[in-house]
Amino acid sequence: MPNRNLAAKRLLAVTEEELQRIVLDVHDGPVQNLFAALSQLTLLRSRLESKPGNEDCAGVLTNTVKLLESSLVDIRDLLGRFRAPEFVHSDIGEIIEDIAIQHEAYTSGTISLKMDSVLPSNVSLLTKIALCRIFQETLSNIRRHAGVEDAAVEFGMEKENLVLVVTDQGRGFEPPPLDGPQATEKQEHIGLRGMRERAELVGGSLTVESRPGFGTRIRVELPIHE
Amino acid sequence: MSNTNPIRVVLADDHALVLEGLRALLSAEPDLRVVATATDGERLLDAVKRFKPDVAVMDMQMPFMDGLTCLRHIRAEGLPVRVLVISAFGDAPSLRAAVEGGADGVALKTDPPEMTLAAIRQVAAGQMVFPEAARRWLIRKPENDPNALTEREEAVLALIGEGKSNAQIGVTLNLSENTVKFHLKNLFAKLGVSNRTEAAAKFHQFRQRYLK
Repeated sequence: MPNRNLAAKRLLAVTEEELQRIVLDVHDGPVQNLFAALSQLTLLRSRLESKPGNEDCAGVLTNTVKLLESSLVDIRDLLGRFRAPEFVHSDIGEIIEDIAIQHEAYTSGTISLKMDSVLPSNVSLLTKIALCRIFQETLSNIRRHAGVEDAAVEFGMEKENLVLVVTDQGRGFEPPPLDGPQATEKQEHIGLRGMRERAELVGGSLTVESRPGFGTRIRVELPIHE
Repeated sequence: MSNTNPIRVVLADDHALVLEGLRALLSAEPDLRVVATATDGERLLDAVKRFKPDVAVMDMQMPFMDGLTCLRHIRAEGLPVRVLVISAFGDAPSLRAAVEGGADGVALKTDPPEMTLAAIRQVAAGQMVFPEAARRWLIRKPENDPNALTEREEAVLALIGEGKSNAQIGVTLNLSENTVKFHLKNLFAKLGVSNRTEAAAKFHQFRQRYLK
């Protein structure tokens, strides 16, 4: 159904634009204010701690600081997941590498990245966006759900297709059915379904291999042109 | 640190609340002294020239002259100041731009503010402060193997081969001495050597090979 496909792609482009607007709003507003508030509270805490008899107040303040800091970590994850690389002018290898750098800058994890030395320069924009979003979400899932920050990433060409494989040694899970009548509707699996839908929208596929206690392997295969 | 002179700091951020928060936080630290604040890059450049601080702390995005342009001016004019960039984004292009622009470090606004304080002290002490794991990517050419030298590193290596000091290399390549040290550290790791004498020997080996 070419019309439906076209509409879906247009929607994808609009969603991208709106996403970038949200990312910038979060950057300009909450991040700056939370950082400023934390600076003031940190000062207040050190003043309280230097005077005896204020232990109760200092304790309350420490908890408040922790809450704000964890909000900043959540926002950092959100920015990390949705900040757009320079899609148009960057080649696909740069985009993949940049996402790995960002993950390492934001976490204490290490990405072991193996990438083909020659990659196609004519990857379509939608394919770049899809691959980038799937990769970002995969790394974010590893941090949030697998309980680890390290990952092994392989990226290259297989026949005519781009193939990205991300493996972690985290806690693993029982992969739910992502399509068909048994398809999962559980909240925690919506992200996985979204990733697969993105891959399929550009003519590709996504598979999940996982087992509780044995880590997770995500394999994405996308044609260079959708 | 308390027995020596305090570290003199200029703060620049276009978010008034951030500037005020950092200024208040620094004012409670006996070893740090805020000598000026600025809300744009032009004023920051003026303040650096006028107050000659040890460290300039600057936001990347600022009106009139952004942080990176200001950084370029600071390095081009050879102003003797260590620069710590603060940013809400830890993405690769931002980090790369800071490194290539000659910053001594980057602190993230999504980390606790104490980490910014720690980073100010570290850059003042001559250390490079970048997210540790991110470093090894920033100096690497994506299309080459991990041990291939960047153009910058090749230039530094050539000068090492001529027996130049870090200060001389800095002047020749228009880099701060810290940036030269940063390149040296990576260069040594890539060449598998532990000092500049060994690095110079490698350079002459390479040259012999190319000359034949």
